[in-house]
Amino acid sequence: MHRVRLVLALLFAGALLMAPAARSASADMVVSQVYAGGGNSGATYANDFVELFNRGSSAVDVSTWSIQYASASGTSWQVTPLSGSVQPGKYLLVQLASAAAIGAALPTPDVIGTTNLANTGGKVGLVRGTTALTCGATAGSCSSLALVADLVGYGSATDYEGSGATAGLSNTTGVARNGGGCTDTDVNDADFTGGVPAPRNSATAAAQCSGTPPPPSGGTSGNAGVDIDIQSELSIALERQNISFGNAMAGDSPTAISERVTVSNTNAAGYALTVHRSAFQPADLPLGMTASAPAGGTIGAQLAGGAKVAIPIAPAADLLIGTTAARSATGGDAWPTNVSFTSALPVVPPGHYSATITYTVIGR
Amino acid sequence: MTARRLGSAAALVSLALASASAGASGARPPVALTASPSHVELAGSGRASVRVTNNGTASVVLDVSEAGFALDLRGRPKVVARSAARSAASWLSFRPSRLSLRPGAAGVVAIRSRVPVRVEPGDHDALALFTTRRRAAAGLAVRIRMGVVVVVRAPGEVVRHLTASRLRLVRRGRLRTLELPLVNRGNVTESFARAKAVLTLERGGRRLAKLHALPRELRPRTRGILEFRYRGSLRGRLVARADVASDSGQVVRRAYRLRM
Repeated sequence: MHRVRLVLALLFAGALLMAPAARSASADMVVSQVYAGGGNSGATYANDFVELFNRGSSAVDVSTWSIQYASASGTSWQVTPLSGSVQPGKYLLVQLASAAAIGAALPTPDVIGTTNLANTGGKVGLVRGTTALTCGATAGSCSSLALVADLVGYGSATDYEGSGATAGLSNTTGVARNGGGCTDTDVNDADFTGGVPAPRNSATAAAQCSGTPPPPSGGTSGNAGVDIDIQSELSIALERQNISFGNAMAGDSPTAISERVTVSNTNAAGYALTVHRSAFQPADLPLGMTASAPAGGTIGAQLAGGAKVAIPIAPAADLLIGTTAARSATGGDAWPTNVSFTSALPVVPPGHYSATITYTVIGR
Repeated sequence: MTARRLGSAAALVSLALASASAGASGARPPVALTASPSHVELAGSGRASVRVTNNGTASVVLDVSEAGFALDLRGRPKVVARSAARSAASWLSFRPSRLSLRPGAAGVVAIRSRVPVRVEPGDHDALALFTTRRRAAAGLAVRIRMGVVVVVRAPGEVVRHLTASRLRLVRRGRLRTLELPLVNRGNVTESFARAKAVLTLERGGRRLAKLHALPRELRPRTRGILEFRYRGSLRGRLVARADVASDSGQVVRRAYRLRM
């Protein structure tokens, strides 16, 4: 009986000892790098940073998540909200505080915060929410919470994943998750290695974590990742860059002249096309236009039905020629416009009259 | 007088010929510009670059400047004063601020944002305007201006809060449009894709039509209208169920009684 009690007691004690090894439910998104020496004397970089990595196979929306930091033994957490989503194999760089303008600038950060990380020890949590944590006094107190996606305790931190915190940091070294961010056994001191910081942001090429398939028998094979970011494009072309109505007299109504404007936007949201002009010099003349919309375009309300409309003189608001709400067709959208006068030419002194028409396109 | 009229006619004929020539398929236009990317996002103080290519047959000189940016109620972009609410125009600088591009040439303009301290967190926007210069000899000169939207996200807490008010029916000829007014009370831009903004028309629990909104964005602290166009023949009393989700996951679900 005594032996049974002894065994139960040992099992209970063992369970208690095992408690610190409780692990965060760090599925896909993990903290992949931490650097705390930003702007300190001899610093490698001017800012502290935390780098996140999506080691899974699908995008993760982190717009309601946050990065949180507490000192080595503290339970008061500083929150930096995140934004956007992280594609599989991609990184997200969170720029944090700077002590001074010492060290190199980070690559363009994806999120900016003001938290100041300590070199000697601290805890960085990746949290599914933006409410500040209150845990962290003892090992396993944070990492066991479901809302904590990942936790890194470094240096003298009192909370960490697994059996111990990873190494402390310095002005020239950080800690990085092994395997390019892929290794996650929920043991901080095994998953991270100290070294020269190398921040990666959302523009860094993807690093897939899935295992390489075995080569077919009797041969060898190799895999090469292919990665390319296609940028959106906004284009505009004019049929002519000068319009001349030739010679005319007061009372004439010169024939309209075509100015076809071809616009293209590869962004799926479309664009708006507008027009304005300067006043004619030496005296103004009543310039106007008609326009129609290409397939997929919506003509501006004033120009609907083929109406001839005065072209406004800047700084008055532009005349809306039309809009689209989708990606342009190959070759762009051709907007036929005809420039003419809204009424017969007034009596003005003879001479050469000039003005400038400006067509404006803005991507949506 | 007759000679002047003839001269005018000759000029018009030559213009007509020039126009046909320019419009012939495959002919390169005299002025054609491309900017890439067409939309720039900066996280706080930072840098980005826009590449501008002259695809026309004439050399161009471009001026680069900043302006305010806004969307009207229906999501159409427009140029506004650089001092407009939540404008980031005064935070932007460009290098170079003038580009000379020969036909086929491209240039890169660096855009830099400097976010002041104590600015409200979230999205602030502006336009980078690329404007061709007027040709000196021109009478009625035509120039083009491209507006690249620059969104600067100031550091701090991101707030997302979307509300909807009463659905209304607008008739324009045979087209009927159901307009759902939305208010973005958050501090970041919300985007609505066609597939995720749905209005279902029902009668007696039976679904009669499913409409998708025109895609649009809604800037922080602004109002806007989601438009659902309907070309069908439904008449009478209906229930319209709006199920709208922004790209960030903000959801509006409401039901409205409606007479079509």
